[in-house]
Amino acid sequence: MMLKHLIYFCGTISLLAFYIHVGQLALNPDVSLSYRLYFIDRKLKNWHGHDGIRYQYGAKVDFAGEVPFLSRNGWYQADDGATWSDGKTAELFFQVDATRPPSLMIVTGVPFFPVGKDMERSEVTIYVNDKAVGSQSFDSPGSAQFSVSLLETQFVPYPGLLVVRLVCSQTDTPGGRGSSKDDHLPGFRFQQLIIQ
Amino acid sequence: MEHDSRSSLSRLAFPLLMAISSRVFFFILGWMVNLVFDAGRTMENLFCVWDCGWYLSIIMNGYDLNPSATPSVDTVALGFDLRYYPHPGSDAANWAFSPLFPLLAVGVSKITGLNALLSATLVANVSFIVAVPVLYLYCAERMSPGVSRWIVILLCFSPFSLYFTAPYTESTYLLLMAVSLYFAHSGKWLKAGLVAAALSATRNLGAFMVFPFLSIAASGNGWRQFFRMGQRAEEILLCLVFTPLGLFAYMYFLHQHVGDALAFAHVQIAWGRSIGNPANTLLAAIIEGPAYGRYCAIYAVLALLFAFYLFRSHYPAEGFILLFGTIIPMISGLDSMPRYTMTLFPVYCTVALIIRKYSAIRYPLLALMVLADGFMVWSWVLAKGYMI
Repeated sequence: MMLKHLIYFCGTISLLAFYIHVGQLALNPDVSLSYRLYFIDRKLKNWHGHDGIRYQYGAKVDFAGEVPFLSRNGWYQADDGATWSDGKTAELFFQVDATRPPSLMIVTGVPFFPVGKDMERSEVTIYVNDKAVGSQSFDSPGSAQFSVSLLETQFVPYPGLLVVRLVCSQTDTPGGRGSSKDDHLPGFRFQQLIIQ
Repeated sequence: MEHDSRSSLSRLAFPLLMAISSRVFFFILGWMVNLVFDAGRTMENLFCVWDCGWYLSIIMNGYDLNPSATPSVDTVALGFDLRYYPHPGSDAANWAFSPLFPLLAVGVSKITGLNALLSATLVANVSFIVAVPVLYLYCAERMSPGVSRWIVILLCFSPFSLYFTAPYTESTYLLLMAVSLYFAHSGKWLKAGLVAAALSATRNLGAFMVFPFLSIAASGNGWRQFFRMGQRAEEILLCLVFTPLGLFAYMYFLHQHVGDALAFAHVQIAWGRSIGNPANTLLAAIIEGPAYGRYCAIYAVLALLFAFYLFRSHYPAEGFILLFGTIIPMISGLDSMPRYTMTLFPVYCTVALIIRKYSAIRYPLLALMVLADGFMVWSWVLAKGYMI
């Protein structure tokens, strides 16, 4: 009788211990950064494989086609050689060399100036890993290039991850203005980006 | 002794006959649809649509290491249309599908030499044919032999019974659920727990069998007895702890295989599923959903009403099965809700209990169901999207 009690007790404890162990494994997945951002955090727009967001310093990111670094929300489809951000905020995720912090980011693009709206300037603010690193004002809708220093960037929360967030001061929906049925909110038209 | 076994056999003859004849009926119906509508199917892949390809990929090549657009099987050779697998983002993987059903098919294939598709079809149909008599015995003891007979008839000829013929996990799930409930109801708690562990390896929803078990334990021994932790209570506790073992073992495997124990849940992004409040999901589908969303919502509401009816009729174990079988899938969306809910046997317990009071509607209902069978088999063989 005593032996039976012992077997039941040990069986129950062993199973519970196994479940706790598996629970811990579930909380600490051993996966690539791309996998984590796409499948677990659901932050990436598309899945481009485990190395999808890997980035070599100095490489030119061309926004004319499909870009693997885009966040799930905040972007139009690419068209006519560039990609519009959609809404106030758009994000880009890069996996870089974790042993070497970045120094500079150069962005080429076109700010949004709604037709028929009296607007003197448009401004974008750039955050990297949740820290404001610079802002840029535009007073005309032409293509512009600007750079921001990334020298003080720290890799949080994941080693080697750079989260670039663009916050646009001015967005407007063509649908809301009656110029089309499009209800997107264009903010900044990305053409190229380089991180050094 | 001989008389007893003869009597048991004669009791099982009816459900066995129903189970076998209904499978033959569905195969004949499927083949007729194939011929009349020129669906271009072979006898082998007659019922192999949608998720069948994902199960085959597990049987033939094991679990994926990386996501892809289609299952890792030669879909063309199997006569599949790639439109069954709309994952242009190449983010789908067979991790979403629990391991026991494909594992059984692998075993059958190794023993018999049959190919993956035939093995899976054999496992599904044999599971159903074994499940129905077990379910009959369980329901006859729990309700009455008369009600149990109607449960069997309704289950076998329901329009959703075709899912038990397709190489899907539904029939294995039904079998293991029926066996575990039968054991629990007979007070054989360790056996019930072991079978329930297999159930949670068939569909992760099986882990929720702890609630029906608890209600059976409480109705048999009372809560006071349970909390006093007598000999029975220890056995029941071990049964409850055993129940999610299949799910946790699969999670452990996934962690070792792809590094993510919750890969089966995370990969749902490929099917457009995301975690949300089931009540909001249901309301949104009813108020502003597309036609398919509303179709799924109808079945979710129906299943919840049936669960409520079962609780009120003092069948909490069956009520819990239906309640969790509806709400848990609803957390990630309403897609496939007709299949998820209408293949759960408590649905047919509810209908059988209702028609017990209204005997005049029994046969018209059965005739209606058989007519609907034709439509559902047509929809399935022609791979209509609402059948997913």
